[in-house]
Amino acid sequence: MKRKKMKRLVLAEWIVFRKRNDGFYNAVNTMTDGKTVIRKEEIMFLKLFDGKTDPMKIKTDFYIHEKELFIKRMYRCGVLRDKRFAEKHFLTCLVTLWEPENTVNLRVFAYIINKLLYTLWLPVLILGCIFFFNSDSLGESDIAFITPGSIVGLIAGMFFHEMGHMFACLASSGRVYETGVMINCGLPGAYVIMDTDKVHNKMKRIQINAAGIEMNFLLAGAILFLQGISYELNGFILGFSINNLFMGLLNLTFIRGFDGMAIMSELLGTDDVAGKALNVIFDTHRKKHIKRRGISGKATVAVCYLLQFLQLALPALLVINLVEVIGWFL
Amino acid sequence: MVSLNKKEKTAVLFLFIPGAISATAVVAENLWLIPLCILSLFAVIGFVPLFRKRENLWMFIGTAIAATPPNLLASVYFCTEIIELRFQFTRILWIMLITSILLSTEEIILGIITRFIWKKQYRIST
Repeated sequence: MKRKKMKRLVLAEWIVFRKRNDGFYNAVNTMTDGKTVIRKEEIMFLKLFDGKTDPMKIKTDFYIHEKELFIKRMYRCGVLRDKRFAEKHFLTCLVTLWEPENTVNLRVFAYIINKLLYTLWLPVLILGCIFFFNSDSLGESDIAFITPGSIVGLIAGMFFHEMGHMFACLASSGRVYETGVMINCGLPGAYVIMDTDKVHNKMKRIQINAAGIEMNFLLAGAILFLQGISYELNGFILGFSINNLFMGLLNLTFIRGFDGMAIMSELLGTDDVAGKALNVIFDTHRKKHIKRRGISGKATVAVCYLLQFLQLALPALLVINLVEVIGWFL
Repeated sequence: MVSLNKKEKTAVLFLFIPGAISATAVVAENLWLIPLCILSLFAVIGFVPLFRKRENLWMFIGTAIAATPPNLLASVYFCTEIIELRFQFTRILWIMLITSILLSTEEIILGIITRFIWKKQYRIST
């Protein structure tokens, strides 16, 4: 590992240390529930990583080669992270933009925004659509401005989507570690890393997952009120609104990793139901074990098959997008 | 094949009642039967004893059965009448996508209402 990179390493905010019975500690990743065994002296050393100082120059009882191996191990396990990037692999890069401090003022602000969000998203969307369809300038849109509107709508939609999750989490006493932009499998996006373990109310957890979609619908509805200002702007507004509407609707689907799947996981009372469903389908022994529970077991297996069938929406979407892009050039 | 005893078969049969109502709504082109379908779904989930404490699980299955006919009709209508497709072979993909979006939306809305009504339920365990 290069010295320049080592200087930027910090202790990941989502790591907590828990004492074990044998005198060692577990460095627990609260996001993945992964554990790494660690000693007390090593924890003291890790807490000195500030993202600016060369860790090889920090005075400790370790030898140089021990330090290097330890730092590499901690980086591989995710206990240490690059200050600028939450994650960096081939085709995936999460660039940290903001690490919000959990202050009272921020929570109050988030509470107000969240309250406005879940109260207003539906009325604004409905009224926006009514305004749009009753508008005198309906049908008078400069088509050339639809594409820029779509692109701006996509960027704004992604940004506000994650802000929605962040404010909902802060309003419900959850913990938000950071937010930023990312490239995931070559596609751009935004992200927010948060922990909702302390949010015990199921409805609040559902609302945290739904907040991003609510924000997209709110944006889609709110921008429609600007319809009629100018001929060029009409096309821009249409592109912006349609893109956000589609983003919101797409996020409702039960594709693994999307908000709709997270909401359904909460409603069914289990984490990562899509991942577990896949395991059930391919494990005959487990399937038989679940079916033995009676009719509810058989229903559980049926739900697993249904959820996997609904994952086909993602390849369908990708093929449609690919065909549309190819069609542009033909 | 799944083997069910008589009691379980009767319970599952009840779950097809909302599906039958929604299929009738589609065939008869009568949208007023849709609210009746939703009410019957809640009635079945609420009154069948075997569904107790797992209302969200059964609502998921019931919604999938009941919502499929109108969703398919809506997505086929959307793909043939509303949007113009550059490549006709993508029609089936659009139908799949729109049906999936509609089903997911309905599942979430009905699932949230179910949670409001029946707060205490067993977790689905795999």
